[in-house]
Amino acid sequence: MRPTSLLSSSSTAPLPGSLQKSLAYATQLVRSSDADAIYPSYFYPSHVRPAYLALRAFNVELATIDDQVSNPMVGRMRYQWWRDAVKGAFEVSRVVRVFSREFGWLAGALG
Amino acid sequence: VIRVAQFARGGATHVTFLAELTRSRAFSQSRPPPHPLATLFSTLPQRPHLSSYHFTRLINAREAHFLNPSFASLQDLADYSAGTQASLLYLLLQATAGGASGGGVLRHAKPFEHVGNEHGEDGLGFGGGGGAGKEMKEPDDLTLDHAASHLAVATTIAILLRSIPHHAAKRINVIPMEIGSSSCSPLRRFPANFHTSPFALDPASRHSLKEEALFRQGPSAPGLRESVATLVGIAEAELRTSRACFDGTTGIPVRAAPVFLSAVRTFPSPDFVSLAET
Repeated sequence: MRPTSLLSSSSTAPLPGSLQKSLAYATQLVRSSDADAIYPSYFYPSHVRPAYLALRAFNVELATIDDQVSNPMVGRMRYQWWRDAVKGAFEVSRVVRVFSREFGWLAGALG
Repeated sequence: VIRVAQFARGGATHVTFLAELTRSRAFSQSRPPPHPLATLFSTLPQRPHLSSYHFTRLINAREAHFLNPSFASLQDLADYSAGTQASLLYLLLQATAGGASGGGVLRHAKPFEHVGNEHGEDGLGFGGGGGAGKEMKEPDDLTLDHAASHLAVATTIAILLRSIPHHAAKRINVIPMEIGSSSCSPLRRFPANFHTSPFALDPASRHSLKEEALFRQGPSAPGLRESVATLVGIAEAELRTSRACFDGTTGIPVRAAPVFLSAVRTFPSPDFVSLAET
């Protein structure tokens, strides 16, 4: 079973290497832990499919924490880690959004 | 470090690396190390359309369930499903919605909340439509959220039922210890009359299912079949309610069809297969 078989059709534009790798990771995770969830992915438009797989993989990551840890403290740390990760992912894009909103006129002004 | 580095030079390099790591910005800002999923999320083109609220809700609900895996009541089960499956469905809807609806407000950003009059007086008219004289209209985002919230409960119950053996092996009981109303669709109108219901009985205790018997005897525990049947009935009712949310509309819009299509894999019933065809 090739984890990257979905990738060939997942996006029309070629993805950057790091994104391709993380998408392969997400696909593999969903395939191994939530196999049924792979089938609906074929019904998503190709530009939404990475988002579907990412969200499904995120769900798998959260759902398998309680099977992986034996100690409640360690489990809480993992959940906190994900909280920070989500915060980080959103902060970066907020910076980009604010920047493009504030300085979007520059692109037009400069041609 | 000493054990890892065989040579003094290697050890020195390793120490330098650690010192640099400590001094680096990423370390001092306590940024999480790059996880494949974090990378993926920050680069998704749909990322601006997803609300962080739903992500936080997913994590919080999972953590609460991790710390206390048993459900005292159906309300607990509903909260759990709202935090896990419903938020996931909202995020998927957001991913397919593609952008703000106007005014800079994200679509599907707010979880659906029952205010009491969604299902009509008799519990049969849904979505404000259904009248023969009215012409069919495209379902709005609120209708989609409503249907998703009901589908989430059904999905949650299906997943929990499948996980009963897995959890029982770890001495965890996932069957709610108390189910509010004795009618077959108690979730539909909660929380309005939930705790005031005169028939406040629980399926586990109504069917005299004992946790210890579940853990020791497994499938032959007395009352287990009846409890599971009660839960299946609730899931079925929720599924129908979800389906009925689209009554009086033109059906599920094309962009949201894959989101609801995921119900087919959980419930391969003709009801939802026909839904998938729309």
